[in-house]
Amino acid sequence: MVRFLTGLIVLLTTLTMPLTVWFSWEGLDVFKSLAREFSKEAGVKVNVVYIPKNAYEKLSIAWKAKAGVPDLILLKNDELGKVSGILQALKKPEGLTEKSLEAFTLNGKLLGIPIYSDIGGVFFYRGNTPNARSVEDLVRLFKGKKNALMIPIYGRYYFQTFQRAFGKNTDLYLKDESTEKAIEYILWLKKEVPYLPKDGRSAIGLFMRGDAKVLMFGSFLIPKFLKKHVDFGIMNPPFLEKAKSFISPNLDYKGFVVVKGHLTENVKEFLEFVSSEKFQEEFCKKLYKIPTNEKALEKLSRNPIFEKLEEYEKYGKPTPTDPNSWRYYEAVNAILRLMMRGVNDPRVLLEAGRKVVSGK
Amino acid sequence: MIWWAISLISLSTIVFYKLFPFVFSLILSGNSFFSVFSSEAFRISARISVFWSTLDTVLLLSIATFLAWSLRKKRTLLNTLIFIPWAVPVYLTVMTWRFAIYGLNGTSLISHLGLPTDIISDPIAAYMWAVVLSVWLDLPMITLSILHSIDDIPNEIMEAARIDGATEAEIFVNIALPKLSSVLEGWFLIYVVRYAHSFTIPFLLTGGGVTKPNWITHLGAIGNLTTLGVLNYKIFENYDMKQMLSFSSATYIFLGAMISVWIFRKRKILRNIFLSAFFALWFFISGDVFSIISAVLSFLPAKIAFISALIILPISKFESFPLYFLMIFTALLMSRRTIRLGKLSKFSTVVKISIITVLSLAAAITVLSLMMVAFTDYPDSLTVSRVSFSSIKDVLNDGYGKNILNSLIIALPVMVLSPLLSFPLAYSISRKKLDWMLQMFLVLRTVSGIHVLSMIFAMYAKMKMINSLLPVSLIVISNVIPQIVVFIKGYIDSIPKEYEEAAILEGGRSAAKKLLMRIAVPQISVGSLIGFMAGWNAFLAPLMLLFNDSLYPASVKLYSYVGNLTDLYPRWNLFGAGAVLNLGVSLVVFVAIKTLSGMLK
Repeated sequence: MVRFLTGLIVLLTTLTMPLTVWFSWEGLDVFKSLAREFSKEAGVKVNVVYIPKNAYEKLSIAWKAKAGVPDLILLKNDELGKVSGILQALKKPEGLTEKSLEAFTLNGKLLGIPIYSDIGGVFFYRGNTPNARSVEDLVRLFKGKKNALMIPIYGRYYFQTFQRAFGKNTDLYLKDESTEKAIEYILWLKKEVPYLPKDGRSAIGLFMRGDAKVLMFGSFLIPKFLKKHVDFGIMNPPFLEKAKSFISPNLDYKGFVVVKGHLTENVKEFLEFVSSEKFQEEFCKKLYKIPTNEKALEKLSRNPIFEKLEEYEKYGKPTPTDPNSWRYYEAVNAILRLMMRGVNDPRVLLEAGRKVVSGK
Repeated sequence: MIWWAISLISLSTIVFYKLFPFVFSLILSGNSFFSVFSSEAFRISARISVFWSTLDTVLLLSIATFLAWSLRKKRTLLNTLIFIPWAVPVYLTVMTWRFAIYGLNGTSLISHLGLPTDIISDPIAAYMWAVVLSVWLDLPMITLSILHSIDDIPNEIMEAARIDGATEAEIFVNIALPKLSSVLEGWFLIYVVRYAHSFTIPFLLTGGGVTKPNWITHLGAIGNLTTLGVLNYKIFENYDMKQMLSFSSATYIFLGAMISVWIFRKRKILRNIFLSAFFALWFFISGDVFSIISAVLSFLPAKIAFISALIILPISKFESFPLYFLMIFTALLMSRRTIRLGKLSKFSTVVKISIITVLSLAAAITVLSLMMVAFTDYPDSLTVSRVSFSSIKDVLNDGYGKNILNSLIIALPVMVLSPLLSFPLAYSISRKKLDWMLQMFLVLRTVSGIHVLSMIFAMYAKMKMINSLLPVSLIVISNVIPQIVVFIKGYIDSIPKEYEEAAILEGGRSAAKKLLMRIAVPQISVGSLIGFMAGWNAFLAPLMLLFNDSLYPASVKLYSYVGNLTDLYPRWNLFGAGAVLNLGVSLVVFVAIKTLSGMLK
């Protein structure tokens, strides 16, 4: 009898307790409306909390303080390493791309359900289509034209793009030849195009004003361009002549993770819902995200913008899912800040990066 | 009895938030803070901090003294010049200036004036603007304080000098400056410590400044404006509790050693012992041999120490400590010897006009930039093609109303509780002559900053008080009680004791206290206003203690719109619109409290 009552109480609590979901990045309104649909269908209230920045850090503190831990959190795959100890291993779902599932796998365990990815692309004004196939072509085309070409060479995410074009694999050390070549390449770009933007805002602002003609940036900007009626196009993925390879943009995956002890039936149902074709199609269509659901991806590929993004996706690689990725980013940051300051010696830059990566 | 209990609660609040976190931090981190002193990041940051704070303080005091003296008879002009930095919250002004300086890829309002704007990669531009803003924003308080001290100088002495043919500049140098020297020395020591852990300006304006190869540490790049405050925030963001507490404890000890020179400033031997102890600690941190020389010099007569410091300064390649040392002894050495300035007097007029121009320009740039980002029709536009209110609509659609409500939820308890907790304490300090308590408040406030908030964060984490609004209000109350106590105490001092004695004879002690409270209604209302503004403008505590967008007060929400200097997609229009609404609400509350206080009076 006692067992039955306990079971009943647990069941009732599970059914009536709302799910708390921490959500970040773009698409809060779309997500909330889809979550409401889930609530209607499943009869479970979803409490969506917007975390503007670094949800993984906040999760870590909430866990340590045992205060306000959510059931599900939307994280980037490269943030997993810092909180992997408090995340629940999940069952591999059907119908999601292998690339995305791999990005959320750490030490053989699937720690999150990937939902979508953003990717870096090259945007241009339609009336001003550049006759270029490579980054070097763009440099030649816009050399001497102030603020016309916006390549965010000081962004740490783009550093990886160049590293991989020169043959870098997924490790986070900075000792290899490809890193050195990537640094030399960025220094060359800096020399050839001295006005390259030092911050993302300038790059975006100048492009949206029409001053910049070409912008290399994340696909998350597409809805903003459309809202502001920017008549843009997306270039084919450019070639890097010096690397004899296409650029390899970062596939910036985001997915839901579950905190240990929170994998209830409702949570499982919610995870099924967000990995479904219907959810992903609707969410990604409005926000121009690349879905991880294969069927949703196939459907959206018929849209010309998605078609282009998919081309980039073919060359793209996920950001590294490694517990030490934060140290690597810190090191890249140090290299780029020195470069901005005017340090142009690759050896000095590499040495600085290695010092941070090693932590000694 | 109740009054004593309330006084005790007020004192406990201050001690709980300003001193106890340090003890708590020491208990949790053990002696690991000791190794922080020799860590590369701390050493570099401490050097940067001391240089930055000394330079800032010297400039601040020089300009404030000059301004107070030159405009002492033109108070309306003076008040107008310092109104903007006084009225607009620091975090708002700094973020607005970031837009005004850097604009788009360095093209901005300021670049049109031909000034350097590359605060991302040019170390000199970053440093220069940080110093300019820092001095400008602190100018109102210091100027008014110095003005008050100038008012205390007997007019007859200055009149006599004028009759003897002395110029205004000569009267300033030979009469006013020596009289002001002890006030300036006090402010110098206080501000040097305060600036050493600055956060808001170096971080919000430059993200910690520009780095160089030998400032790359295992904790990442240290920039030329990575003060101890910025470093502690950087460590805090890693959420490594032990590292966070070690660094914050080390910072607390370092600043405590600095402030001890102020505590014992009037006891020559003790002051010199603490000064040399501080230099010894510095030698341990930096290995800088000049700090040991400075320690020895502390015991020499002021003039010899001054001359020696002058010699050491260039030899040490303008290292921070000889500079700090030199400044202390300059303040001590304010000579009484008469200095003739002759034609230099005319020079002071040029300086005066320049300072007035710069201050007017600074105020104009703040207002213009804010209006530009709030009411333009295109994102990141530098030219106003069409006035538009769409950003106001956008920011309200973004749920900013909820953030305003959160600010009110934080501010209201502060507004109500702070004056109520402060009044009995102010009364006790005034009547029992416990002035040493005010000094203690000043010391505790001076050594508090980001590092203490890190400690409180750890404490709150244990007490499950993170991510909640009321605990934020409590921190603000602990910050604001000392300010209100000082303000109300000044008023109680001016009430003759006879009034109180007469009231005691009529109706006993409680009747006397009630009478005092009734007389002080305007002061209590101003205390409420101070409390409200502190709660309303609270920035650092909510930034560090709240996670959710739905809990953010307006200040943190505004910051989240523009983020760090190199953030990917700052939304300046939403920031501008939100800032205007924020200032609007403050104005309404200001007028409401003033009206209410008038009615109560």
